[in-house]
Amino acid sequence: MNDFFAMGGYAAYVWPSYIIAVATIAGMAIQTVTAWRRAQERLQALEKDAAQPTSQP
Amino acid sequence: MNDTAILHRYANPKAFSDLAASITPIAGIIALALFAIGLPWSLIIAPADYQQGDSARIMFVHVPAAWMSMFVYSCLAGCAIATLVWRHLLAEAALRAAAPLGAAFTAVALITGSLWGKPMWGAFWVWDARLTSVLVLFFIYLGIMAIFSALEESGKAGRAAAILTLVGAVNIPIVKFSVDWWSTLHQGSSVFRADGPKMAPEFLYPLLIMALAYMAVFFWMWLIRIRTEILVRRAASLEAAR
Amino acid sequence: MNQTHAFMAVVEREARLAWAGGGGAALPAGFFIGIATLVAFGLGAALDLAPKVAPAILWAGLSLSVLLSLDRLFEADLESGAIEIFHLSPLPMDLMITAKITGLSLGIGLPLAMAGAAAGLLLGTPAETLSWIAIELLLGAIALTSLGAIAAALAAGLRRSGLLVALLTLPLFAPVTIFGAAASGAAHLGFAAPGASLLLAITILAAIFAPKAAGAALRLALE
Repeated sequence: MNDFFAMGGYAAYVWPSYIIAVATIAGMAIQTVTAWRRAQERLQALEKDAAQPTSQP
Repeated sequence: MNDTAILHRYANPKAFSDLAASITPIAGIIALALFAIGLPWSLIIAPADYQQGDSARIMFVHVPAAWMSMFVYSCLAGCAIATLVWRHLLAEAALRAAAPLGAAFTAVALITGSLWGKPMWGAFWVWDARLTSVLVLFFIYLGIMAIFSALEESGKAGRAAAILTLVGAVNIPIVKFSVDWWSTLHQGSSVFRADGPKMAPEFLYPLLIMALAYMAVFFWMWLIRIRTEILVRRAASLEAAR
Repeated sequence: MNQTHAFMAVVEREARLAWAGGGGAALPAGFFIGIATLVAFGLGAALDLAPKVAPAILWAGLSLSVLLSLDRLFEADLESGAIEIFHLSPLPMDLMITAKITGLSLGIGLPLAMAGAAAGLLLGTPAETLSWIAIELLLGAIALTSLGAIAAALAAGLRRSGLLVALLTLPLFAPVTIFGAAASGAAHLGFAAPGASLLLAITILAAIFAPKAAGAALRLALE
């Protein structure tokens, strides 16, 4: 197990590489989905607004 | 239906969104599965390299990122042509959506390459042709993103970004052939060669799996981002009408 | 014949504006020498390093000087409407931009090349190589102005576009700076220096194709 983490002595290079690669892709993925959800919510709110009659007394 | 009719049919934002909505989850699942297979394969199953030991495992996250940085730019160039020639709003949306993804892959390639370079060549960075041209590529991506943000309100952002994309496309063959034209520290092509890949299968297979994983996750993200862009535009026009 | 007259008129106007307007050509040249001087001050005791870093300083200085001059290319004319008038002239947009680039290059390129030679002297560059360096800097100025015109055209009409232009010029200027510094570093080899032929090649390519890209961007800005 320790051998696995040690990566033949190159642990300081291999693990940061993998972590950065995975974290960057995951980060972009999360940001993608979040922006998508926000855009959906905003559009739904606007469409609801537009469907309602103008709020005048 | 002939080819141009199919192209035009999916050029309609609504038709595209519907098509994308069905493809997106498939792409996402494929991406997840390929990473689930590829990461353990890269870290555990693949053997350590004879010369570089376990540091060679960085190849499995570095090379696919580098490939994607170029592939995404080709997609950008295609969108740029469509934007300038046909004034396609969908092409503009696709251009805007893909640029940050390309920048991210390029950054991963540069950073992981740097971390690989230290044990392999003894230096985190050298100004050889390959590294320099990829750094230039990164800045071109940033420039495209900057144009979108700076020209947002003018409505001209898409076309201006398209012009820059095509100007910057000159860099792509330079990146690809830099290792052939100049004597570089960076390794030459061992996969995309005229006479086929010259990499051992125990390295080639996990590399290809990871490459497909990167590709799948890119398409998954790209499709969602394009649909987001379409929604944003609709919201903007609703707001303007108020 | 009408076109040639128009072309020469724009070249002359641009060169004259570069020489005369707001400090004229003295400004970029002075800036260039200023940078070299600052580096010399900064090196202090390590002044023997200066000849080694001189090519890098010269080419970085050239890039910055050209960058600073870029807003002269389109901004004032866009604001005053002169660009639209040019648009109506018998000169096609690409040729008009070529004329402007030529004018600006002549206006600032020659002073910058000479200032660069002087700066090189300041930094300890061997005197025999200075004429080659000046030629290379002049070529570089033409290449950088042409490529910079693309960035200036893309950002044309935007308020506070300075940062955007700087970001856009970075990838465009990089190859010129790399080839130029390599060539100047081995200037005793003259044209056989590594990078020299590439510098010439990129200058020619930029001079031919950059106006087309800048023209497309400028037409976009005019809409």
